[in-house]
Amino acid sequence: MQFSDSETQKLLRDTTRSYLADKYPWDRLYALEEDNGELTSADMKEFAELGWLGLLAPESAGGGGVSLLDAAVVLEEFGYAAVPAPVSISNIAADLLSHADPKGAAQDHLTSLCSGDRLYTVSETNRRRDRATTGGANGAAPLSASGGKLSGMAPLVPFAESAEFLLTPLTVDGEPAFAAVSLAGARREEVELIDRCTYRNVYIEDESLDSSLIIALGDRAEQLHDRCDALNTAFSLIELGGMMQRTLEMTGQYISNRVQFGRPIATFQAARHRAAEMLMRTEATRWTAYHAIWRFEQDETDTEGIWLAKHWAIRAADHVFQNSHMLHGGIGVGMEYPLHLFTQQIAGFAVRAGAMNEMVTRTVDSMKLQVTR
Amino acid sequence: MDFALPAEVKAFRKEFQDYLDVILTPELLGEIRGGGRGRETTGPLTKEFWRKMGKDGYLGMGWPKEYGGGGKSALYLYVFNYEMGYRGLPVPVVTLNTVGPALMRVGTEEQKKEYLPKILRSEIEFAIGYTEPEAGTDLASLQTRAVRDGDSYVINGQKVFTTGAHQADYLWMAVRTDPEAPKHRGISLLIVPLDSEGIEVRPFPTIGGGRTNFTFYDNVRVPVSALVGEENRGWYYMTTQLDFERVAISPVAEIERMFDSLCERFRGQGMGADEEWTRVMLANIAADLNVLKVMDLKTAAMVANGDVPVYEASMLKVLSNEFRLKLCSDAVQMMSSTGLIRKGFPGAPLDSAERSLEAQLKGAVIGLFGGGSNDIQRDIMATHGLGLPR
Repeated sequence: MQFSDSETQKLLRDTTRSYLADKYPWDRLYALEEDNGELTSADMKEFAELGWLGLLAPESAGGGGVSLLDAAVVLEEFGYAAVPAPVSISNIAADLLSHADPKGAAQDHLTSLCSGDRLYTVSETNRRRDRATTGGANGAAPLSASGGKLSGMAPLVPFAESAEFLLTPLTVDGEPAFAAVSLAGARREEVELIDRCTYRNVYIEDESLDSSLIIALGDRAEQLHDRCDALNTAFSLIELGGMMQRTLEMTGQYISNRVQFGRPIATFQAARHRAAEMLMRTEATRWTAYHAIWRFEQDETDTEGIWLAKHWAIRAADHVFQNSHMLHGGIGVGMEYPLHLFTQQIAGFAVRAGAMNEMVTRTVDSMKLQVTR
Repeated sequence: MDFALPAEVKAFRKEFQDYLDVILTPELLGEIRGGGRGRETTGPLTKEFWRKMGKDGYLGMGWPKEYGGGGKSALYLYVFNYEMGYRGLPVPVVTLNTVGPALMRVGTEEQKKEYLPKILRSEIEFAIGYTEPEAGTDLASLQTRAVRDGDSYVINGQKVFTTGAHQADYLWMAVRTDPEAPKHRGISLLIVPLDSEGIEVRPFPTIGGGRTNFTFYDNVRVPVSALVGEENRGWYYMTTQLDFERVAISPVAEIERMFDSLCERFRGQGMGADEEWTRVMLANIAADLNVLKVMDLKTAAMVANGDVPVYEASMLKVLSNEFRLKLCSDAVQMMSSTGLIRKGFPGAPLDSAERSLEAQLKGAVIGLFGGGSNDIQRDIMATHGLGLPR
């Protein structure tokens, strides 16, 4: 039993950390923030060359064929570096495409994904909520196909501006389905969120299903929907852990150097204890996330650990968000100081891919209590 | 990363569960669960139970083979503690996991030969004599003196919270042997037979139903062979041992048992489980408990891999004890006034557990400072976990 990186994981972590630190200094991240833009195609091409977009794709398609835990190490580093990149969603897409039946049908998609020729994104489906609310605040209908034509709306799709395919649950002639939906004819409505990623509401009207790939139908589609939800939550949790870790380190450095009343403020017990609380919450978030992914990797129906870890992380992230700003004081809210690059993402990732309401429902359901709701 | 318990440890878990199922008699469980106001002494059946486990090799599984132990990894100890804790069974934890390992590290050959086999067979019990009226969190300020007089030390002073002193055989005692040295450097550890002349033990009842003690020392004489390790190095031995102690006293299994009892009650009666607040609180508790279980396992894995958890042990201590108190408090709120009924009275909740909910609520506050106050643990985390200046 080892609660630390394996040799492979160390290598993955070190490589990712040094690459991101080198390529994405604060100035680059500020520029991305000002433009509210996505990374360039050159960025994505480099990620592809490094193998990061298809870590979970089979080697036969040019992917890494690595375990979920190994992939999670790379994803945590994106959180640690505060780089808002579609690496996590690309890997969820790779995982889901790898489960296509028959497998051959998805091979071209997987190859394109791994090479970086096409970007794939994933919808956040809020499965345990009323389906009517998943069509977005304006009440648009969710995606469904009938007679070979696809219509509907997917809300708040990350990185949809440049994505060519959306992995999403839908219905096909009334039957549950899971598909890689072509966004070629989609209308993309810009929506800004707090977390520095880019989002679009995606509208599709009467597009042919021929350019999309139905990955699964019926019960298997439901299973993939569950898998999609679990991976969405688990990987966003991992990135969140990386953000919290970096925020914790920045806060520790700041209070060790900031002198008030003639001594570093880290020597005041009030500040030390806030930092210690941040440390507890951050470590617990990271380890419960990794542990949950390990459980899921053993048994794909074992998603309980993921919901429990996210439930904890929502509260933990809120604590780290508040206390990092408390300990930084005024300097922390300035746009020329990098703390906000992390704390805005922390606030966003705490909610995305499973907010508290959903986690409570999932957790209580998993306890199988006598609940009458 | 590898989070799987090794197959042989899993097999041991099953073996130990089966073993407990066989040897736990209703009479023994009745004695352990006591009469409702908490037990004050270890009963004869409990002592017999420990001796049997010692004889069958379960008490010293984590001890090195050279000292008669099983030489098993800390993961076996983790499983042992978990199974015992979940069933609410007492473990002579201070003797087995604090005194024993410290003697192995710094005891004389004579001490090892004298005490270790008896500890393993559960023939002797130790109490800890550290805290004094003026030396609590600032433990290094302790004033109880031991003065060398020929081949003896003569001890004078007072201790408080000397838990178990009324029934143990020996006291693992911290005394000041050099009053001129800086306070951390003038402390020594002595093994003091509790039937020595000049020792007075007075009860100190606590709100949770458990008993601890005031102890007084008036010219208590022990031979110099009672000294553990080197004179004036006691503080080092004490603080080293506390890291292990914090692992050994993990209350996570007991907390899980309490949560399971709570869920069982809701399943059986459905009371309040459809109310939004209750649903939210149950989900919060489940998520917090998941954290405790993972972090408990992490700490055990560190020890099993030869690492010494320092700030990690502090973290587990704070997380688990503060969570236990919150769980008790939330559980009482979920049950409203019913949650306050004392054990043995009609309608007392969680009666299957060793103690009633109200007793657990009161007893849980001890965890906030027992084994080193939680605020000191936060300082340890700040220094050793984050590298903050003091």
